[in-house]
Amino acid sequence: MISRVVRWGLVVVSVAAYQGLLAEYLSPGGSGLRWDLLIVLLAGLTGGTARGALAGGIVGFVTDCLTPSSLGWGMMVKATLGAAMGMCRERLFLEQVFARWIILAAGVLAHDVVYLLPITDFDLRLYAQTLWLDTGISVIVTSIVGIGVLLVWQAVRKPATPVEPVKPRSTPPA
Amino acid sequence: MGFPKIRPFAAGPSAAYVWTVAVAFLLTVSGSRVKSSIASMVIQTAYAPFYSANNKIKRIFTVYQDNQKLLAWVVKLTAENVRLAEAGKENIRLRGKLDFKLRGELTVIPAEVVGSPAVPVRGTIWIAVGPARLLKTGSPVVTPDGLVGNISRLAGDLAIVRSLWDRNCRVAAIDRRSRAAGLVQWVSGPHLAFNYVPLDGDVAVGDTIISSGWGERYPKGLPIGVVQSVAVDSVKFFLWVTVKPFVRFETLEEVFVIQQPGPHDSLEITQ
Repeated sequence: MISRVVRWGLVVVSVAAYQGLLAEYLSPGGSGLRWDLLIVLLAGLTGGTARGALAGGIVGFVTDCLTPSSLGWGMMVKATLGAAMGMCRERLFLEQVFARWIILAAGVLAHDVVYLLPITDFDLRLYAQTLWLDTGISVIVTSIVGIGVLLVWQAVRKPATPVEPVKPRSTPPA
Repeated sequence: MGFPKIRPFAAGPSAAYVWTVAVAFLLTVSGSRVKSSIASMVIQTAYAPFYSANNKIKRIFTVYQDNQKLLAWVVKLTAENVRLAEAGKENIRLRGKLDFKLRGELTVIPAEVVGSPAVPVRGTIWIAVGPARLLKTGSPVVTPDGLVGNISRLAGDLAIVRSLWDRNCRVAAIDRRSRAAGLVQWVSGPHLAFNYVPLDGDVAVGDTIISSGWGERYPKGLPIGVVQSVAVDSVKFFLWVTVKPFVRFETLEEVFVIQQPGPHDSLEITQ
Protein backbone atom coordinates (compact mmCIF):
# COMPACT_ATOMS: atom_id res chain seq x y z
CA MET A 1 0.00 0.00 0.00
CA ILE A 2 2.80 2.43 0.98
CA SER A 3 4.74 1.63 -2.18
CA ARG A 4 1.63 2.41 -4.24
CA VAL A 5 1.18 5.77 -2.52
CA VAL A 6 4.87 6.54 -3.07
CA ARG A 7 4.60 5.51 -6.72
CA TRP A 8 1.61 7.76 -7.44
CA GLY A 9 3.22 10.53 -5.39
CA LEU A 10 6.26 10.30 -7.64
CA VAL A 11 3.99 10.56 -10.67
CA VAL A 12 2.48 13.78 -9.27
CA VAL A 13 5.91 15.20 -8.42
CA SER A 14 7.32 14.33 -11.84
CA VAL A 15 4.41 16.03 -13.61
CA ALA A 16 4.72 19.13 -11.41
CA ALA A 17 8.51 19.19 -11.82
CA TYR A 18 8.24 18.89 -15.58
CA GLN A 19 5.63 21.65 -15.85
CA GLY A 20 7.50 23.89 -13.42
CA LEU A 21 11.07 23.39 -14.57
CA LEU A 22 11.35 21.81 -18.00
CA ALA A 23 8.15 22.38 -19.98
CA GLU A 24 9.25 25.92 -20.81
CA TYR A 25 12.27 24.56 -22.70
CA LEU A 26 11.11 21.13 -23.90
CA SER A 27 7.52 22.02 -24.70
CA PRO A 28 7.31 25.76 -25.45
CA GLY A 29 3.69 26.79 -25.86
CA GLY A 30 2.52 23.21 -25.43
CA SER A 31 4.25 21.90 -28.58
CA GLY A 32 7.00 19.41 -27.81
CA LEU A 33 7.39 16.68 -25.26
CA ARG A 34 4.14 16.16 -23.31
CA TRP A 35 5.40 14.40 -20.22
CA ASP A 36 1.95 14.21 -18.62
CA LEU A 37 0.50 12.42 -21.64
CA LEU A 38 3.52 10.15 -21.87
CA ILE A 39 3.01 8.94 -18.30
CA VAL A 40 -0.64 8.14 -19.00
CA LEU A 41 0.15 6.33 -22.26
CA LEU A 42 2.98 4.30 -20.75
CA ALA A 43 0.97 3.46 -17.62
CA GLY A 44 -1.80 2.10 -19.84
CA LEU A 45 0.54 0.24 -22.18
CA THR A 46 2.57 -1.38 -19.41
CA GLY A 47 0.09 -1.63 -16.55
CA GLY A 48 -3.28 -2.32 -18.15
CA THR A 49 -6.69 -0.67 -18.06
CA ALA A 50 -7.04 0.01 -14.33
CA ARG A 51 -3.56 1.45 -13.92
CA GLY A 52 -3.94 3.48 -17.12
CA ALA A 53 -7.25 4.95 -15.97
CA LEU A 54 -5.87 5.77 -12.54
CA ALA A 55 -2.72 7.36 -13.99
CA GLY A 56 -4.88 9.36 -16.39
CA GLY A 57 -7.09 10.53 -13.54
CA ILE A 58 -4.20 11.61 -11.32
CA VAL A 59 -2.12 13.24 -14.05
CA GLY A 60 -5.21 14.89 -15.54
CA PHE A 61 -6.18 16.32 -12.16
CA VAL A 62 -2.69 17.73 -11.53
CA THR A 63 -2.41 19.35 -14.98
CA ASP A 64 -6.00 20.63 -14.90
CA CYS A 65 -5.16 22.66 -11.81
CA LEU A 66 -3.15 25.02 -14.03
CA THR A 67 -6.38 25.98 -15.81
CA PRO A 68 -9.04 25.85 -13.05
CA SER A 69 -11.88 26.62 -15.44
CA SER A 70 -11.38 23.26 -17.16
CA LEU A 71 -10.75 21.27 -13.96
CA GLY A 72 -12.12 17.75 -14.42
CA TRP A 73 -12.27 17.75 -18.20
CA GLY A 74 -8.61 16.90 -18.72
CA MET A 75 -8.90 14.30 -15.98
CA MET A 76 -11.81 12.66 -17.77
CA VAL A 77 -10.07 12.65 -21.16
CA LYS A 78 -6.77 11.37 -19.79
CA ALA A 79 -8.46 8.63 -17.72
CA THR A 80 -10.25 7.48 -20.87
CA LEU A 81 -6.98 7.60 -22.80
CA GLY A 82 -5.17 5.59 -20.13
CA ALA A 83 -7.94 2.98 -20.06
CA ALA A 84 -7.94 2.80 -23.86
CA MET A 85 -4.17 2.25 -23.87
CA GLY A 86 -4.66 -0.55 -21.34
CA MET A 87 -7.27 -2.14 -23.59
CA CYS A 88 -4.89 -1.87 -26.54
CA ARG A 89 -2.27 -3.68 -24.51
CA GLU A 90 -4.71 -6.44 -23.57
CA ARG A 91 -6.35 -6.89 -26.95
CA LEU A 92 -3.76 -6.01 -29.59
CA PHE A 93 -0.48 -7.65 -30.46
CA LEU A 94 2.03 -4.87 -29.76
CA GLU A 95 5.38 -6.60 -29.82
CA GLN A 96 6.82 -4.64 -32.73
CA VAL A 97 8.33 -1.22 -31.99
CA PHE A 98 6.53 0.33 -34.95
CA ALA A 99 3.14 -0.86 -33.69
CA ARG A 100 3.81 0.71 -30.30
CA TRP A 101 4.97 3.93 -31.89
CA ILE A 102 1.74 4.12 -33.88
CA ILE A 103 -0.31 3.53 -30.74
CA LEU A 104 1.58 6.21 -28.78
CA ALA A 105 1.26 8.74 -31.62
CA ALA A 106 -2.45 7.96 -32.01
CA GLY A 107 -2.90 8.37 -28.26
CA VAL A 108 -1.41 11.88 -28.21
CA LEU A 109 -3.41 12.90 -31.28
CA ALA A 110 -6.67 11.46 -29.93
CA HIS A 111 -6.14 13.27 -26.62
CA ASP A 112 -5.68 16.68 -28.23
CA VAL A 113 -8.50 16.17 -30.73
CA VAL A 114 -10.95 15.60 -27.87
CA TYR A 115 -9.40 17.77 -25.17
CA LEU A 116 -8.85 21.00 -27.13
CA LEU A 117 -12.38 21.31 -28.51
CA PRO A 118 -14.03 22.78 -25.37
CA ILE A 119 -10.75 24.41 -24.30
CA THR A 120 -10.85 26.53 -27.48
CA ASP A 121 -14.53 27.34 -26.83
CA PHE A 122 -15.49 25.35 -29.94
CA ASP A 123 -13.81 28.00 -32.07
CA LEU A 124 -12.98 25.78 -35.02
CA ARG A 125 -10.41 28.16 -36.48
CA LEU A 126 -8.38 28.33 -33.29
CA TYR A 127 -8.95 24.61 -32.71
CA ALA A 128 -7.59 23.68 -36.14
CA GLN A 129 -4.70 26.09 -35.76
CA THR A 130 -3.71 24.68 -32.36
CA LEU A 131 -4.01 21.13 -33.61
CA TRP A 132 -1.95 21.85 -36.70
CA LEU A 133 0.83 23.86 -35.06
CA ASP A 134 1.19 22.41 -31.57
CA THR A 135 -0.25 18.92 -31.60
CA GLY A 136 1.66 17.86 -34.73
CA ILE A 137 5.02 18.45 -33.09
CA SER A 138 3.83 16.96 -29.79
CA VAL A 139 2.70 13.77 -31.52
CA ILE A 140 6.09 13.19 -33.12
CA VAL A 141 8.27 14.16 -30.15
CA THR A 142 6.19 12.45 -27.46
CA SER A 143 5.80 9.20 -29.37
CA ILE A 144 9.52 8.96 -30.16
CA VAL A 145 10.51 9.68 -26.55
CA GLY A 146 7.83 7.19 -25.46
CA ILE A 147 9.32 4.43 -27.59
CA GLY A 148 12.75 5.19 -26.14
CA VAL A 149 11.41 5.02 -22.58
CA LEU A 150 9.58 1.76 -23.35
CA LEU A 151 12.73 0.13 -24.78
CA VAL A 152 14.84 1.23 -21.79
CA TRP A 153 12.15 0.02 -19.40
CA GLN A 154 12.02 -3.37 -21.10
CA ALA A 155 15.81 -3.69 -21.03
CA VAL A 156 15.90 -2.84 -17.32
CA ARG A 157 13.12 -5.28 -16.47
CA LYS A 158 14.74 -8.23 -18.27
CA PRO A 159 15.94 -10.91 -15.79
CA ALA A 160 19.68 -10.67 -15.08
CA THR A 161 20.31 -14.40 -15.38
CA PRO A 162 19.01 -16.23 -18.43
CA VAL A 163 16.35 -18.79 -17.76
CA GLU A 164 17.66 -22.29 -18.22
CA PRO A 165 15.92 -24.26 -20.96
CA VAL A 166 13.70 -27.07 -19.76
CA LYS A 167 15.37 -30.42 -20.27
CA PRO A 168 13.33 -32.92 -22.31
CA ARG A 169 11.92 -35.68 -20.22
CA SER A 170 13.56 -39.03 -20.69
CA THR A 171 11.21 -41.50 -22.26
CA PRO A 172 9.82 -43.94 -19.71
CA PRO A 173 11.01 -47.50 -20.03
CA ALA A 174 8.71 -49.64 -22.04
CA MET B 1 -23.71 -6.49 10.99
CA GLY B 2 -20.96 -4.11 9.88
CA PHE B 3 -20.80 -1.32 7.34
CA PRO B 4 -20.29 -2.44 3.76
CA LYS B 5 -16.72 -1.86 2.60
CA ILE B 6 -16.28 0.44 -0.38
CA ARG B 7 -13.49 -0.91 -2.57
CA PRO B 8 -13.63 0.95 -5.88
CA PHE B 9 -10.94 -1.06 -7.63
CA ALA B 10 -12.01 -4.49 -6.40
CA ALA B 11 -14.47 -5.05 -9.23
CA GLY B 12 -11.84 -4.88 -11.95
CA PRO B 13 -10.38 -2.44 -14.43
CA SER B 14 -13.69 -1.09 -15.68
CA ALA B 15 -14.69 -0.13 -12.12
CA ALA B 16 -11.42 1.81 -11.74
CA TYR B 17 -12.21 3.69 -14.93
CA VAL B 18 -15.82 4.37 -13.93
CA TRP B 19 -14.78 5.72 -10.51
CA THR B 20 -12.09 7.96 -11.98
CA VAL B 21 -14.44 9.37 -14.61
CA ALA B 22 -17.16 9.86 -11.98
CA VAL B 23 -14.78 11.96 -9.86
CA ALA B 24 -13.69 13.88 -12.97
CA PHE B 25 -17.31 14.54 -13.90
CA LEU B 26 -18.08 15.86 -10.41
CA LEU B 27 -15.11 18.23 -10.70
CA THR B 28 -16.22 19.35 -14.17
CA VAL B 29 -19.72 20.29 -13.03
CA SER B 30 -18.61 21.90 -9.75
CA GLY B 31 -18.68 25.68 -9.40
CA SER B 32 -15.81 27.96 -10.31
CA ARG B 33 -15.11 28.82 -6.66
CA VAL B 34 -14.69 25.14 -5.78
CA LYS B 35 -12.46 24.63 -8.82
CA SER B 36 -10.31 27.65 -7.97
CA SER B 37 -9.93 26.58 -4.33
CA ILE B 38 -8.86 23.05 -5.29
CA ALA B 39 -6.52 24.33 -8.00
CA SER B 40 -4.88 26.91 -5.74
CA MET B 41 -4.26 24.22 -3.11
CA VAL B 42 -2.52 21.99 -5.67
CA ILE B 43 -0.57 24.89 -7.18
CA GLN B 44 0.70 25.94 -3.75
CA THR B 45 1.74 22.44 -2.72
CA ALA B 46 2.89 20.78 -5.94
CA TYR B 47 3.81 23.43 -8.50
CA ALA B 48 4.99 26.51 -6.57
CA PRO B 49 8.35 25.01 -5.41
CA PHE B 50 9.29 24.07 -8.98
CA TYR B 51 8.24 27.37 -10.54
CA SER B 52 10.10 29.21 -7.81
CA ALA B 53 13.24 27.08 -8.39
CA ASN B 54 12.99 27.67 -12.13
CA ASN B 55 12.76 31.44 -11.65
CA LYS B 56 15.76 31.42 -9.29
CA ILE B 57 17.88 29.41 -11.75
CA LYS B 58 16.94 31.76 -14.58
CA ARG B 59 17.78 34.80 -12.48
CA ILE B 60 21.24 33.45 -11.70
CA PHE B 61 21.96 33.01 -15.39
CA THR B 62 20.56 36.34 -16.49
CA VAL B 63 21.70 38.61 -13.66
CA TYR B 64 24.83 39.93 -15.44
CA GLN B 65 23.03 40.66 -18.70
CA ASP B 66 20.15 42.24 -16.80
CA ASN B 67 22.60 44.41 -14.89
CA GLN B 68 24.22 45.69 -18.09
CA LYS B 69 20.86 46.36 -19.62
CA LEU B 70 19.61 48.16 -16.51
CA LEU B 71 22.72 50.34 -16.31
CA ALA B 72 22.09 51.46 -19.87
CA TRP B 73 18.46 52.13 -18.96
CA VAL B 74 19.47 54.14 -15.89
CA VAL B 75 21.63 56.46 -17.99
CA LYS B 76 18.89 56.85 -20.59
CA LEU B 77 16.14 57.37 -18.01
CA THR B 78 18.15 59.88 -15.98
CA ALA B 79 18.36 62.12 -19.04
CA GLU B 80 14.70 61.46 -19.80
CA ASN B 81 13.77 62.23 -16.19
CA VAL B 82 15.34 65.68 -16.33
CA ARG B 83 13.40 66.44 -19.48
CA LEU B 84 10.14 65.07 -18.07
CA ALA B 85 10.55 66.91 -14.78
CA GLU B 86 10.60 70.17 -16.72
CA ALA B 87 7.63 69.04 -18.81
CA GLY B 88 5.79 67.99 -15.62
CA LYS B 89 6.25 71.40 -14.04
CA GLU B 90 5.02 73.00 -17.22
CA ASN B 91 2.05 70.61 -17.29
CA ILE B 92 1.08 71.44 -13.69
CA ARG B 93 1.33 75.13 -14.44
CA LEU B 94 -0.82 74.83 -17.57
CA ARG B 95 -3.35 72.55 -15.88
CA GLY B 96 -3.65 75.07 -13.11
CA LYS B 97 -4.40 77.74 -15.66
CA LEU B 98 -7.03 75.54 -17.35
CA ASP B 99 -8.47 74.43 -13.97
CA PHE B 100 -7.91 70.67 -14.69
CA LYS B 101 -7.89 68.05 -11.89
CA LEU B 102 -4.44 66.69 -10.97
CA ARG B 103 -3.82 62.98 -11.66
CA GLY B 104 -3.07 60.62 -8.80
CA GLU B 105 0.06 58.58 -8.08
CA LEU B 106 -0.05 54.88 -8.91
CA THR B 107 1.38 52.17 -6.70
CA VAL B 108 2.72 49.05 -8.39
CA ILE B 109 3.48 45.78 -6.59
CA PRO B 110 5.96 43.32 -8.15
CA ALA B 111 4.78 39.71 -8.41
CA GLU B 112 6.32 36.49 -9.63
CA VAL B 113 4.61 34.28 -12.21
CA VAL B 114 4.32 30.85 -10.66
CA GLY B 115 2.16 29.03 -13.15
CA SER B 116 0.61 29.09 -16.55
CA PRO B 117 -1.57 26.54 -18.28
CA ALA B 118 -0.06 23.41 -19.77
CA VAL B 119 -2.10 23.76 -22.93
CA PRO B 120 -1.31 26.18 -25.74
CA VAL B 121 -4.44 28.26 -25.21
CA ARG B 122 -3.72 30.44 -22.23
CA GLY B 123 -6.25 32.60 -20.46
CA THR B 124 -5.10 32.19 -16.87
CA ILE B 125 -1.81 32.99 -15.15
CA TRP B 126 -0.91 32.33 -11.52
CA ILE B 127 1.18 34.92 -9.70
CA ALA B 128 2.70 34.98 -6.22
CA VAL B 129 2.00 38.38 -4.69
CA GLY B 130 3.34 37.65 -1.22
CA PRO B 131 1.57 38.00 2.12
CA ALA B 132 -0.01 41.15 3.53
CA ARG B 133 -0.57 42.68 0.11
CA LEU B 134 -3.69 44.76 -0.03
CA LEU B 135 -4.84 43.71 -3.47
CA LYS B 136 -8.35 43.60 -4.80
CA THR B 137 -9.86 41.49 -7.50
CA GLY B 138 -9.92 43.49 -10.70
CA SER B 139 -6.53 45.13 -10.06
CA PRO B 140 -4.68 45.61 -13.37
CA VAL B 141 -1.56 43.51 -14.01
CA VAL B 142 1.18 44.89 -16.25
CA THR B 143 4.77 44.39 -17.37
CA PRO B 144 7.13 47.06 -18.69
CA ASP B 145 5.95 45.97 -22.16
CA GLY B 146 2.28 46.56 -21.50
CA LEU B 147 -0.99 45.27 -20.11
CA VAL B 148 -1.29 41.61 -19.06
CA GLY B 149 -4.83 41.48 -17.63
CA ASN B 150 -6.46 41.78 -14.24
CA ILE B 151 -6.74 39.77 -11.04
CA SER B 152 -9.78 37.54 -11.13
CA ARG B 153 -9.32 35.79 -7.79
CA LEU B 154 -7.07 35.92 -4.72
CA ALA B 155 -6.09 32.67 -3.02
CA GLY B 156 -3.74 33.22 -0.09
CA ASP B 157 -0.35 34.35 -1.37
CA LEU B 158 -1.37 33.55 -4.93
CA ALA B 159 -3.59 35.39 -7.35
CA ILE B 160 -5.23 34.22 -10.55
CA VAL B 161 -4.74 36.69 -13.39
CA ARG B 162 -7.34 36.81 -16.12
CA SER B 163 -5.14 37.64 -19.11
CA LEU B 164 -6.04 39.46 -22.32
CA TRP B 165 -6.50 36.00 -23.89
CA ASP B 166 -9.54 35.40 -21.70
CA ARG B 167 -12.85 36.18 -23.39
CA ASN B 168 -14.09 37.87 -20.22
CA CYS B 169 -11.20 40.34 -20.14
CA ARG B 170 -12.26 43.54 -21.94
CA VAL B 171 -10.31 46.77 -21.95
CA ALA B 172 -11.57 50.20 -22.98
CA ALA B 173 -8.88 51.43 -25.33
CA ILE B 174 -7.88 54.15 -27.77
CA ASP B 175 -5.57 54.49 -30.73
CA ARG B 176 -2.57 56.46 -29.46
CA ARG B 177 -2.20 58.39 -32.73
CA SER B 178 -5.78 59.19 -33.73
CA ARG B 179 -7.50 58.71 -30.31
CA ALA B 180 -10.16 56.49 -31.97
CA ALA B 181 -11.89 54.60 -29.15
CA GLY B 182 -12.99 50.97 -28.89
CA LEU B 183 -12.89 47.87 -26.75
CA VAL B 184 -10.00 45.39 -26.78
CA GLN B 185 -10.89 41.75 -26.17
CA TRP B 186 -9.93 38.32 -27.43
CA VAL B 187 -12.57 36.78 -29.66
CA SER B 188 -10.71 34.06 -31.54
CA GLY B 189 -7.50 33.43 -33.40
CA PRO B 190 -3.95 34.46 -32.63
CA HIS B 191 -4.65 38.20 -32.17
CA LEU B 192 -6.79 40.43 -29.98
CA ALA B 193 -9.68 42.38 -31.46
CA PHE B 194 -10.14 46.16 -31.16
CA ASN B 195 -13.93 46.20 -31.37
CA TYR B 196 -16.63 48.84 -31.71
CA VAL B 197 -14.51 51.33 -33.65
CA PRO B 198 -16.90 53.25 -35.95
CA LEU B 199 -16.45 52.82 -39.70
CA ASP B 200 -15.06 56.35 -39.99
CA GLY B 201 -12.59 55.73 -37.13
CA ASP B 202 -9.00 56.53 -38.05
CA VAL B 203 -7.09 53.31 -37.29
CA ALA B 204 -4.11 52.21 -39.38
CA VAL B 205 -1.82 49.20 -39.39
CA GLY B 206 1.13 49.83 -37.05
CA ASP B 207 -0.80 52.13 -34.67
CA THR B 208 -0.33 51.58 -30.95
CA ILE B 209 -3.43 50.78 -28.91
CA ILE B 210 -3.43 51.97 -25.28
CA SER B 211 -5.96 51.76 -22.46
CA SER B 212 -8.31 54.74 -22.40
CA GLY B 213 -9.03 54.69 -18.66
CA TRP B 214 -12.76 55.00 -19.37
CA GLY B 215 -13.74 51.72 -17.75
CA GLU B 216 -12.17 52.90 -14.45
CA ARG B 217 -10.54 49.49 -14.05
CA TYR B 218 -7.36 50.18 -16.03
CA PRO B 219 -5.47 53.44 -15.77
CA LYS B 220 -5.12 55.50 -18.92
CA GLY B 221 -2.09 54.98 -21.14
CA LEU B 222 -1.19 51.31 -20.62
CA PRO B 223 0.17 49.97 -23.91
CA ILE B 224 -1.84 46.99 -25.14
CA GLY B 225 -0.59 46.16 -28.61
CA VAL B 226 0.00 47.17 -32.18
CA VAL B 227 -2.61 47.10 -34.95
CA GLN B 228 -2.06 44.18 -37.33
CA SER B 229 -4.96 44.54 -39.74
CA VAL B 230 -7.99 46.75 -40.35
CA ALA B 231 -11.11 45.58 -42.18
CA VAL B 232 -14.84 46.27 -42.23
CA ASP B 233 -16.81 44.09 -39.82
CA SER B 234 -19.30 41.60 -41.27
CA VAL B 235 -22.24 43.52 -39.80
CA LYS B 236 -20.78 46.72 -41.34
CA PHE B 237 -21.32 48.99 -38.36
CA PHE B 238 -17.77 48.87 -37.07
CA LEU B 239 -14.21 48.32 -38.21
CA TRP B 240 -12.68 44.88 -37.62
CA VAL B 241 -9.25 45.61 -36.14
CA THR B 242 -6.81 42.93 -34.98
CA VAL B 243 -4.14 43.79 -32.44
CA LYS B 244 -0.94 41.95 -31.60
CA PRO B 245 -0.29 42.38 -27.86
CA PHE B 246 3.04 43.80 -26.72
CA VAL B 247 3.31 41.32 -23.85
CA ARG B 248 4.72 37.91 -24.74
CA PHE B 249 2.57 35.72 -22.52
CA GLU B 250 4.55 32.53 -23.04
CA THR B 251 7.71 34.01 -21.49
CA LEU B 252 6.23 35.93 -18.56
CA GLU B 253 8.34 35.75 -15.41
CA GLU B 254 7.61 38.90 -13.44
CA VAL B 255 4.62 41.18 -13.54
CA PHE B 256 3.44 44.24 -11.63
CA VAL B 257 0.05 44.66 -10.03
CA ILE B 258 -1.31 48.19 -10.02
CA GLN B 259 -3.19 48.96 -6.86
CA GLN B 260 -6.75 49.71 -7.81
CA PRO B 261 -6.60 53.18 -9.34
CA GLY B 262 -9.06 55.97 -8.95
CA PRO B 263 -11.16 57.17 -11.87
CA HIS B 264 -8.70 59.87 -12.93
CA ASP B 265 -5.39 58.02 -12.55
CA SER B 266 -3.08 57.84 -15.52
CA LEU B 267 0.12 56.03 -16.41
CA GLU B 268 2.35 56.19 -19.46
CA ILE B 269 4.82 53.38 -20.06
CA THR B 270 7.40 54.24 -22.72
CA GLN B 271 7.82 51.58 -25.39
